[in-house]
Amino acid sequence: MKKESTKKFKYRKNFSELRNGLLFSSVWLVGFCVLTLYPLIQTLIFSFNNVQVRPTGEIILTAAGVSNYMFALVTDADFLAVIGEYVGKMILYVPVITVVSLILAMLLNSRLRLTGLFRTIFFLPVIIASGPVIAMFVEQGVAQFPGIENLINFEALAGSVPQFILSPLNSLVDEFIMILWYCGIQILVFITGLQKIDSSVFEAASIDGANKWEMFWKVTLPAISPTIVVNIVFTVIMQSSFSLNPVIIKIKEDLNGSGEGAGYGYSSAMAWLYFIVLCLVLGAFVLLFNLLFKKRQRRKGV
Amino acid sequence: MKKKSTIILDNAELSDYQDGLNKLDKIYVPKIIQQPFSDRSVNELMKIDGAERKDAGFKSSVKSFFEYHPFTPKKWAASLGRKCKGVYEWLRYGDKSKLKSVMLGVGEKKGVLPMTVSYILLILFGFVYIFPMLYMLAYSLMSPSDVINPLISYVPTRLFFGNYKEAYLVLNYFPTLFQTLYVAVLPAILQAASTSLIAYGLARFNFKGKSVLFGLVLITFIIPSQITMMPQVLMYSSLGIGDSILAYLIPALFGQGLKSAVFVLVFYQFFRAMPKAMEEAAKIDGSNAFMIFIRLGLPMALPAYLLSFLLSLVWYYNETLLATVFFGGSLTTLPIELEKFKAAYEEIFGSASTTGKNVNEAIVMAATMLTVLPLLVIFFCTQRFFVDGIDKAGITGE
Repeated sequence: MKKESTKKFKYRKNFSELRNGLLFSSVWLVGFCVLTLYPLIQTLIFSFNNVQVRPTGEIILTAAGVSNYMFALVTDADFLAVIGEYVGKMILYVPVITVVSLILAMLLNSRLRLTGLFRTIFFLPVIIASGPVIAMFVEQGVAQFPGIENLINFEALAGSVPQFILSPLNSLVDEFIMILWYCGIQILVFITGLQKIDSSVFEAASIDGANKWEMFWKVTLPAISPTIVVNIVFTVIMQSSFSLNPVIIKIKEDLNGSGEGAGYGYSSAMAWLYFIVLCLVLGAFVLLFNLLFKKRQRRKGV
Repeated sequence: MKKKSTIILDNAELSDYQDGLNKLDKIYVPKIIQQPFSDRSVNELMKIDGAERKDAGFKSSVKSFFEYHPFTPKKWAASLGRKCKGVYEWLRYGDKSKLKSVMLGVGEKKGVLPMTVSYILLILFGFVYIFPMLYMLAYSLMSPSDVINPLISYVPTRLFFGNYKEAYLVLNYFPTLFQTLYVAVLPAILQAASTSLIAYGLARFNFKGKSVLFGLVLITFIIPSQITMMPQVLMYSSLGIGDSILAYLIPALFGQGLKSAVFVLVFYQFFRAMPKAMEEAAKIDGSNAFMIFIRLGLPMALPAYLLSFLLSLVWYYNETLLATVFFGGSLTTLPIELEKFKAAYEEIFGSASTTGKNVNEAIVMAATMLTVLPLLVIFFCTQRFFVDGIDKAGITGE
């Protein structure tokens, strides 16, 4: 008798939790279905069709098979070029941003005066870094570190160093300050991660005779490895949806127009291809990180 | 209630009965929610525990700097003397131990050397960070002759505000600014409200399919908004709400606004920290889930609301691609105007060949400065909430 009543109580509790949970998320769920899932499917349909939009708002679809995808991958030289540029940029940006923001976060987390002021300075770009503003800076050459051209002469290196190393290096120098500018939120996330590490672990390590350098690799880094993954994901996503991203500019440019290589159908195909590339890049980074760090920890038994 | 009123009758005069009862209602009946588990009380608790609040922000950091470093020349001289003593002992007796302890630090105490290195690094990075802004400010104040002069690269010969005047005219500043704020503030409010709801649902209730829902939220983070943009534009124009602010408001209202998944995560962390016992007490008192959210969750997550509002305000302010596609020219924002600044300038002042007036970099810089200025004002008024909020939200990947 008693057992049955507890069962009933449990059931009722589960039901009320389900009801409340769904009630709270219902608004979001409706929005997700109507404003995200439905457009997503529609873009997929568009990408397999040629789309014409009449001025009245009527949409005319003519089946095109995979021709849109074929056009993007085979005929359109621009698309592959911008995708390549995007992937190259990610390979350069993500490690640099992650490492720089980790260094800055560790500096800000140490017991120094005026860290609040520096945190404000490092967060400032998050506020003002919009596409046009950054484009303006890059155009003016302010994105470079002043006088760095005198230190590294790229034309002199061109003969001895292969191009695929040189060109990312060149863009690293060209846009160094702007890359730093993308670190704002990542720095704060790292600081939060660092503050959550139990200080007794450091004490134990120092009693065992570890120096600062060893502590960083053996204690700090494993403890914040989930934070690093968050930051990698965050960096990739923010960079991928940034207005200055070459792929996004290309998709937007081809949106209006008709015929082969333009219009909604073609843009949808490109957007889907871009989405797939984005997922691959994201997966590759996370996998690489796991391979580099998690495996090493397991082997050493930390 | 009845019992209490009899107590009052014993002590108070009969004529005051009603009055006393009213007062009792106001004062003594405990509403557990009257003092929410607010941010301030946490800070107070921390203070009692002797925890030092990390100083955030410019003002407090300067204040704390002077608190920690009062002007005490004698003490400074003494500490300098101690440091010099290390050098002296080394030179005089060849005893390096003291010098080493001063330079590299002992235990918790930091040595001079690592401190200096840290400060140099911080100042270096800090300078690199604000260099573009300083450059922009200096350049925007240059007169045309300064711009041409090859000898002047950073500091103008005199302050020249003509660039700002022209940029102000070309940007059509105040009408554009009001439009920008209009398309940024309203969606930001709606977005904070809607994302907090789903985050509360995810954080406080355990139900089947919760992990699926959470996964969906994370997926919306990965999907670039450009991929869903085209059908959305078509949908809005077929509904007759294209080219208006509704194209921003409706997604924000349903939690599908700009980077809304970030805000869901922020709120999720806040609501998860809410003590379970408090919720149960409220439940016993007969509050339903929604009342608990309003009375308990909402006040507790106030920093999260502020952070979300400010961040999405900034992100909406800076968004240019979606704004151009959704509004189709019916509404414009400062960044959009900045994007087509050169063309707009020539439209107003005539092209270079006819009037001899040319748009130079200084004017463009002044326009950039004007675009960024409202954000800077907002940021310096509220930066405590930004930095503190992200600190407390603690998105660290658990």
